Parts: sequence; structure tokens; C-alpha cells
Amino acid sequence: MSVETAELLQGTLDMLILRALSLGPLHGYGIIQRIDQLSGGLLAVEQGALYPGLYRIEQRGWVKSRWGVTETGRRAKFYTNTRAGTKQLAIEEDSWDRLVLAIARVREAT
Amino acid sequence: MSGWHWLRALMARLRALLGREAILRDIDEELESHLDLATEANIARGMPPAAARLAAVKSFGRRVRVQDQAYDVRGGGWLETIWQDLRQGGRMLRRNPGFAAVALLTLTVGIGATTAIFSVVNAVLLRPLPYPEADRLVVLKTTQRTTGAIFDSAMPDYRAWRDQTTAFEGLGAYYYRDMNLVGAGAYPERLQGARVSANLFSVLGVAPALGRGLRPEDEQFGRHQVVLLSHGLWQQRFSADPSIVGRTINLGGERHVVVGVMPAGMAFFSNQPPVQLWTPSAFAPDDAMNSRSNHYVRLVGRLRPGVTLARAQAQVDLVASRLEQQYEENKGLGGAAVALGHRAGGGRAPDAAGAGGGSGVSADGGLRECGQPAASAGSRPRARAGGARQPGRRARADRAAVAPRELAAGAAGRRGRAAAGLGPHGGAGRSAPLVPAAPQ
Repeated sequence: MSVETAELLQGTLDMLILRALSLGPLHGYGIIQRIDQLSGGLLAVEQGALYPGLYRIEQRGWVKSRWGVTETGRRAKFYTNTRAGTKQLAIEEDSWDRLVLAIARVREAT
Repeated sequence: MSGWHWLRALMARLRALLGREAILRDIDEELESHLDLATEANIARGMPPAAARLAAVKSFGRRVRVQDQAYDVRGGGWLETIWQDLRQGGRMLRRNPGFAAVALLTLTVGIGATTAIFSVVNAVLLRPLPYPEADRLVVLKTTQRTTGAIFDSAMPDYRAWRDQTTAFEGLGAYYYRDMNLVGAGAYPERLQGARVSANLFSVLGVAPALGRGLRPEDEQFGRHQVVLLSHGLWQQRFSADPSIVGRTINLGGERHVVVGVMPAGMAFFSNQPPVQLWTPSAFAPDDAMNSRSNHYVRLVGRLRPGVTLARAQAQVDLVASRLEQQYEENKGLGGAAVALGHRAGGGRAPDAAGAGGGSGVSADGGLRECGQPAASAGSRPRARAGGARQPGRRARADRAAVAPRELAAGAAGRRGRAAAGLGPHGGAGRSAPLVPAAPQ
């Protein structure tokens, strides 16, 4: 992708996946697209790296998956947020907001 | 949450171990489907198919690494590593039978020794009351309904409970008594003895280490001069001489035949005081111990398998109420069965927790002290062996049989009466009654 994209901070992938799925079920490629679209093309997730992360949060019970068929008739695995995943999203966004606020304050102060 | 998470992960790993191929295929299919979707999107943007596929593969990153990481998350991982190690170990052992034999022998000896040591520690240190199936052991006390006071029991009441209930496999009786050992070795010695019913040891489930236990005929007055030694006494005074069984020793001027030696570590309840000699309880017909007012013996019974404490209590109540109708001395008296296994403060004897100073017996008091409350340790009645049979000495024995101060130091209200030598019903019998107080 272009040089203008931002590096993904470690630990934020879970939050981004959960946020992307909060609007409805998506397959892996769809999640990548959604994150790209929501960030206005600024965030580039290495596509392959999505899957270990996705499986990890599936094992934690935050998302569940099911094989299905896309609009264009292709087989793909679709992911949905579970209730625990929705709760986790709130927790992670909360702590993210606090981190951003804290960093912003520190930066303003100096 | 984290426990749940852990369990879920473990299940996934187990599933992975069983269905490794299935998971790898699932991952592979998903990644393939991703590439197809990406290719499709690239074509939609106007790329020629070949370039579209190439671009999709390129932006995907290193597929093999992704596959490995994905499989690591979804299964396999450490569990599979352990499994591989085990198989590798198994192959090694098969290839080197000599080494395998040595390793096996080392393990065998090691585990065996550890188990043996633990068995000893368990038997000696961790089990203070080594009675088999101790949960079936029950302490039976006499209670006074009006005050809630708790007493030891009278011999006639013991016999009635023993013979007229079916809940107990056996109901034994005992009381502590000092005995003077004379003649054996250099010096006379005052020893802690106990007089016990012939069935007591079988109720407790303890057999002598040497010789025999007590038999019913040992309780017949006149044939009762037999004695069992504690393991410690046998070692100290008789040099652990196995031929002691059958020999005669002199206890307070009376000759007793040694019929057996109890096992080492034989805890006689709390071992407070540690008993060194056991003799059968046998009484001349006119003995003070046969009085209904003489509340002197401690009772311990073993419930029949499957019989509840409540059922035993019901039978005890029934017998008590019969006795109440029959005998003036039994008016107002009941019985309380308390499980020996109860912990301190946990249980209160039924009926006994009522009015009158709230002197509910802690069930553990029944166990640990078995009617030998801490406050009364060392205050054992001083009746002398054989004394009761001689008219000239009976008076002394009776005086001694009045409850000692500490024993009566129960609820304040009872103290005066006990000190005055009054029984639970206030009427002194032919012999002065004993009124041991409840454990506080």
C-alpha cells in the first residue's frame, strides 16, 4: 500500500476486528476491507496476520464463525461478534480512549 | 472467565490433537478463500486475472508462516509437542531396553519408598484417632432436661441402653481410675488406668498387639482380675518381654493376670490422660457403681452401618423414658448421642442445649475429652481399686466419689448442689452421686 499508512500498534488488532464486526458478520477479507474503509485507508493490516489474531479471539469466545457463501457465490468463513465480544470491545475501546487521553495530556503539557 | 477461557483452549487443543488434519484443511481453505476474494476484488478494479491473483498473494504476506501461527493458535501447540516428545521417548526406550529397565526400576523403587514413607507418616502423624470408621462412633451422655446439664452415666442406665437399643453394633463403657503397680521391678508406681467394658475395644475397633482382648466373662465379678498393658508401659516396666502375657502383676494388692498388650500409638480418645492399664469393669452386687445415682461411666457406641444418629437418639430417648417411669432416680434424665467426629463448637447435644446455663456439650468435647473436660483433667475420682469391696473402706470410696470441685465447676447454679453432694435430682442415694459437669 502507500507510504502514508500507519503502523498497527501491538494489541490493537483485537479491538479493530471487534469494531469491524460490530456492524455485522464479515469474512476475513471483508474485515480487512472494513478496517481499511473505516480508517480512510490510513491503517494497513497485513492481510495474513489477521488470521492468527482472528483465531485467537475466536478461542476466547469473543467471535464465532461459520462457513457460508458470499454475494458472488464464493465459499467463505463468516465471523460474528458474540455477547462477550461486544463486552470486550467496550472494555478495549475504553482503555484505548484513556491511553489516547493520557498521551495527549502528556504531549500538551510539554 | 479466565478458567473458562483456559478450559476452552484446552478443549480446542485436544480437538486439534484428534483432528489435526481437519484443522489444517480448515485453515488452508479459509486462506485460499481469502485469496480468491482478494483476487476477485482486484479483477473488479480492472486488473487482468493473473496480475490480480499475484497482487492478492503479495499483499497477503508469507502464507506458510501465517499457516503455522494460525495452527499454533487453533490447536497443536504445546499439547502436540508433548505428544511428540512422548512418542519420541517411547521409541528411545524401545531401542535401549537396558536403559528402559534401569529407568523403570528407579521409578519403581522411588515411588515405592515414597509411598511407604507416606504410609508411616500418615499412620503416625496425620491420624490422631486411628479408629476404623470413626464416623460411626458416638458418645452417649446422660442429660438433665430441666437444666440442660450433662453427666456421665450410671452403670444400670448403661446396661439398659446397651441391651434395649438396636441402633448400636456395640455400646461400650469406661472410666478412668488410678492403679498402683506393686512388685514388678524395683519400685511401686501409680499408673493411669481405665476400667472398661469387655466390648469397648471391639466397639472402637482396636485389637491388642499381643495376647487377647477382654471377654464377656472378664466382666463377671470374681473372674475380673485380668489386665491389658499399654505398649509404653510394657516397654518401660516389662522390657517389652513377650512372655508377659499370662504372668501375674500386683495392682494395689490384687493380683491380675496380664492377658494382652495394646498396640503402640493406641490413642485412648485424646490420650488425656494417657492410659497405661486397662482392667475390665466388674462390680460386686453391692458395689456403689451399681447405684442408679452414681453417674460415673463414659459411654461410646458404634452405630450399625446405615443407622443414623437421629435413629440412635430416638432409641436412646425411648429407653430413657422407660427408665424414668420405672425409677425415681431417673426422673428428669435423658440421653444425648453425639457423633464423635463432630468438630469443636459445631454441634450441641440434642436436648442439652436448652435452659440452665446453656451448657450444650460441644461434640468435640465428647470426643477429645470423652467426658473428661479440659477443666476436669487431673480431677479423676480417687476411688481406690478394690476399696469398694471392703466395708471399712467403702465410706472413703464414697466420699471420694463425690464430684470433685473441678468436675462440678459447670453452670453456676449447679455448683452449689454438686458441692453439697446432691445428684441431678437433689436426692442423695445410698452412695453419694457423682455430678460431673458438662464441658464448658
